[in-house]
Amino acid sequence: MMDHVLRFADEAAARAALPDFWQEIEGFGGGWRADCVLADVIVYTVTGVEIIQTPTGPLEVETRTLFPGWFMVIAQRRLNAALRDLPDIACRVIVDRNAAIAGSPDFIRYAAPDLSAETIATARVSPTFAGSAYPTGDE
Amino acid sequence: MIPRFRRQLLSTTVPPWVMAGAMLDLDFVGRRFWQSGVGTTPNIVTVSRASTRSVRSVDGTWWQVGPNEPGLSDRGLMAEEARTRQTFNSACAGASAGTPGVDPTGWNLSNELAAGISKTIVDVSVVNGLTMLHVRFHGTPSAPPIGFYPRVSNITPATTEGVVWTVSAHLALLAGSFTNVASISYRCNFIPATAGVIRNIIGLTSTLSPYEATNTAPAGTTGITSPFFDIYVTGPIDFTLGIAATQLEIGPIATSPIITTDGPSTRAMDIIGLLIAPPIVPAFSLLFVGTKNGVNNSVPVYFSNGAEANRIGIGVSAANIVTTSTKIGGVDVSTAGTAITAGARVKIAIAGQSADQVQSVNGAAVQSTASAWYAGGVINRTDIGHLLSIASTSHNGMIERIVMWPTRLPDATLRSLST
Repeated sequence: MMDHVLRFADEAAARAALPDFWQEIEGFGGGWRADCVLADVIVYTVTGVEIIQTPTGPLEVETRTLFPGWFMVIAQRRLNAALRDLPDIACRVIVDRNAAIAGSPDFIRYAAPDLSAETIATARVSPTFAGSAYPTGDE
Repeated sequence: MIPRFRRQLLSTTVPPWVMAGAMLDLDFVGRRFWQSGVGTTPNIVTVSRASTRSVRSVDGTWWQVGPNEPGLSDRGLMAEEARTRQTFNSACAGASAGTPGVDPTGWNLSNELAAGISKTIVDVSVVNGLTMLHVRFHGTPSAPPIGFYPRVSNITPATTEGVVWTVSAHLALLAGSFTNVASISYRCNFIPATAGVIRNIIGLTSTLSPYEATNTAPAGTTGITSPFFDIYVTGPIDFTLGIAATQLEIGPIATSPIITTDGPSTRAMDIIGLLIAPPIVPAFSLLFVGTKNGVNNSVPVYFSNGAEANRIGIGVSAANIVTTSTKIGGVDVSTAGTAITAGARVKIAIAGQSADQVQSVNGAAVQSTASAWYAGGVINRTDIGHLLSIASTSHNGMIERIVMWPTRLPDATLRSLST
């Protein structure tokens, strides 16, 4: 599977750009295709940890810096060139799930040209599809 | 290892297991599929799902199948909506036995451990295909009565009022007893409220079994804690819990375990269809056998043109009312409904032809409605276990068998089929 991480200004912009992945059904409202889309995911880097107090004791949690924008992941059997070539470099990265599971260092099939190597190495995506195991983009 | 759909020898003769006169017989329990004019075939059912998923057999064993592989076992075909497990490391990765042993990565089983109480990781084993942690709590609390709160994840998801949450796990009491345990529950707490999603587990048995609880976030909620055990003791204790497949998800029921070493992790929806054109014109009959769980809208079998205006099939409402869920040219011409019980096996027989549409559920008297019928070629898509691709309309259950006939069977036959 190829996971395409996409960034838009907001969900409305994503819907406008990706009509094939959104469905409206009378009586049921609308939604993203639930077999292959993770909508409204967060992309972030971990900046540290902090202790928060809860009624059942302190809890250590990550502090995060979120990347701006509205993110989604679309999984496809193969690299989808139409998604890769969306305007405004909406496609941020395309990663090969099977290659990552196999331990291949070449699991990144595409990265937006404005992404630094450090960003690619440290950014995390949440949630991820069960069965994926990325050494960088996974939480 | 349960095999996937396997190619079988094509045959022009009708196998004895195929129902009489059927043009299509999909026996998911027996993993055998037959189509008139083709013979025995494995390849007319398609599944689209971008994630792995867990599958369970009749004997209670779980295993994982890969993306786009059917959730098929001797119970039938699983069809579930997309869910995200909002906890970390349900696979218990990183745990090792010892004194005190090593907790699974991201867990804190020593959280707020009462003075005088010890925690020991006794073992890590695989039971029913699930990695199970054996954790022993023992000792004499120095200041009873007192509570302690072992955590099974470290994620605190944000949430808001009105969101329905379900916490679940497979649990067992492996050794010892709950003597001097005044209360023990598996739960999450809404933040900042003290209300939670709570399952009392004082009745745990030695058999690893699923437990779950559901609750709605109250006013003012900003988050929900990761799952933990709330254990309140009054004196010396010694018991060993078995813990596996911990899960916290948004939705009214616990779905199948989403087993990963990280998290949050999403099991995508099972989009199940047929490769062949829906054979429903000029007339057809259909039998569906399966089990629906939960309280959402469900669509066991659905023929359409990819939109809503022209469709026929079986619909089950959120209130568990079965109808033919039919629209012709955008006009709803469904039959009257029959109530079923969530979680119970159901047999539904429907049939249709020009100006005639009927259903019988679990042997009940046939319900009918007159309707226009399709011009040929309008219907070109079959969905099984869901309505198109919208997550909230999944069957969330098992599909045992789907059989179709090229004629409108008599009412008595339909009633017999659904019995």
